Amino acid sequence: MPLIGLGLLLLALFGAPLFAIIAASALLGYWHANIDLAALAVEVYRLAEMPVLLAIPLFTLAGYLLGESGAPKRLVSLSQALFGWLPGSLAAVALITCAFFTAFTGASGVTIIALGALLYPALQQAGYDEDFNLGLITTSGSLGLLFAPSLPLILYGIVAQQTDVGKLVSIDQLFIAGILPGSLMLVLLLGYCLWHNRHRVRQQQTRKVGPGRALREAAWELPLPFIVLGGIYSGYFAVSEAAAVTALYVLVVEVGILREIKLHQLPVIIRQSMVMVGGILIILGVSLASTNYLIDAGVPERLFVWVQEHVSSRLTFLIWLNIFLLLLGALLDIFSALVLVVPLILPVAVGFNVDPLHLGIIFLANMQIGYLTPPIGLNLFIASYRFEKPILTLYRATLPFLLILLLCVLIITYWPWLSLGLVGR
Amino acid sequence: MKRLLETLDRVGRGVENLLICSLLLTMVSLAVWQIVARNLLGSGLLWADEFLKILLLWLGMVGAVAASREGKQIQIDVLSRLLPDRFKVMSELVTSLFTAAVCSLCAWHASRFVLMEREFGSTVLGSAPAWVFEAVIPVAFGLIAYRYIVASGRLLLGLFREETPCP
Repeated sequence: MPLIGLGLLLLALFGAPLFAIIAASALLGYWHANIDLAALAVEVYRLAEMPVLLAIPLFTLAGYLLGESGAPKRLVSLSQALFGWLPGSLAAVALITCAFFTAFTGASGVTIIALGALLYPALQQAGYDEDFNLGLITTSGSLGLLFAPSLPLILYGIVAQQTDVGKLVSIDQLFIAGILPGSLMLVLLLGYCLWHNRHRVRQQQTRKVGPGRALREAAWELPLPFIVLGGIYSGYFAVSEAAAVTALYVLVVEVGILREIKLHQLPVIIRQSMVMVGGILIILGVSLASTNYLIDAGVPERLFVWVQEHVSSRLTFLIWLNIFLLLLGALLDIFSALVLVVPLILPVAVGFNVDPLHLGIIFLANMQIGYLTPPIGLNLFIASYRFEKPILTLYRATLPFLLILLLCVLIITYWPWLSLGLVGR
Repeated sequence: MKRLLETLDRVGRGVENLLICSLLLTMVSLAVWQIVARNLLGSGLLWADEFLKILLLWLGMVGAVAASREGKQIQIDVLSRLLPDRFKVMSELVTSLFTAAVCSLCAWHASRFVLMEREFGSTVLGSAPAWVFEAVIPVAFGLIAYRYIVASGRLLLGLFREETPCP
């Protein structure tokens, strides 16, 4: 058994699709426990038993449509019109628009591709130094992960609900829990941008259009956060319903009213977005099977006992958790990490008196750093490919931003109130 | 043989696109209709919530088939990035064969599950036979296995061609 496990690990490291690795380990587990292998299909069919999963394709569609439309451009010119008076304002614009955008696209790399193409040349033109630009854009690609309705936040909620730990984890509470920690990241990064550019002369003409016109131009996109959050918190929509309304709204606006996406482009964009969704859902499906096996085999309990033998206090547990998650984030993408690891560590964390909501925020904050961690952080590669820069340049350029985010993660981890205060837990 | 594979590829892609688009657009409209109906008419369609969840399963499965066609399944490629080109082909071959084998196994056992369900006569959406909707699982795994078999074949052919020395 350990030999086979090692073999699977090697195959994963050499680039076998993760769903195949997880499916293989589930099948092996079943076989070992004399369970009919057809049980795998029963577990995959459970995908059709979770209504909240609908939110995943619907928000993803909305995000991809926004990315292909003129929305990023309008968003940039609006933030420029509103914040253009700050020193280092363009950097601030980059951070804010990216955070907003990533909340909708779920850090799939879409942000760097859609917004980076606009912001990078603009920053260059405004005379910011090269390393700063690259670092900023690469970091911004995963900023906003903690803001509703980001996909990883929803997926954490789904996985946590499947793992029964006796404490309620609802997705709308998670959305609230993410607000302050997400804002902390945004504020600290903004502070760094302003400090880094403190000697720069104020840009005379960064804004191209006045605030009034920029507001009018973005009038169709601006209601989006209110539809999502307003709808959910007024009790009017469930999360998946808010996703349906958002998808329909974006579809009607970008294809029907603004006509920035032509009808013949639509199938291509829909396919692209669903390729990503399919990749996530099949991993979720087979991991329902492998998790089920692990729980039947009592692995979470044994893990808890083992951790308790070695870790005495909540504080040491959190320190080890941070180290483990940072390593995990550097190796696994956020979606696979969520479905594979959350069912195992959630019961342990609850045993150490960590609130499931707080754990979710810690988890995602660590994973966000994983996107930037050398040698294989995903955003580093996307940016290196997109801006045609050597990967080593990107390691260097993102380092200061990485350190700031690391500081945020520490604050988020050791100050639970930041995540739980607004929820009232 | 090559032409047959190319035609299959084209047809397959077309069917995938058609399915993906119609499943997703049905999902959007039906989900929004449910909200409107619930708030204006007092209650939505009775079967709609269950049907939406089945749509999601189908969308996920078809999406996964599309992802494997484009080689966009989620994976870690730490080591393969560092390998020299020749070994890269080898590692791709091994991982593709492995994936094809696992997916074939999944497809086989999933079809057993579907047949059992058919015999048992489970129903969804009132009285519709459940096995029809569940059949998407073995079919999708089968198609993914097929994609990886084709991919391995292509890699193997490439290896052999490379080894025949040019005159």
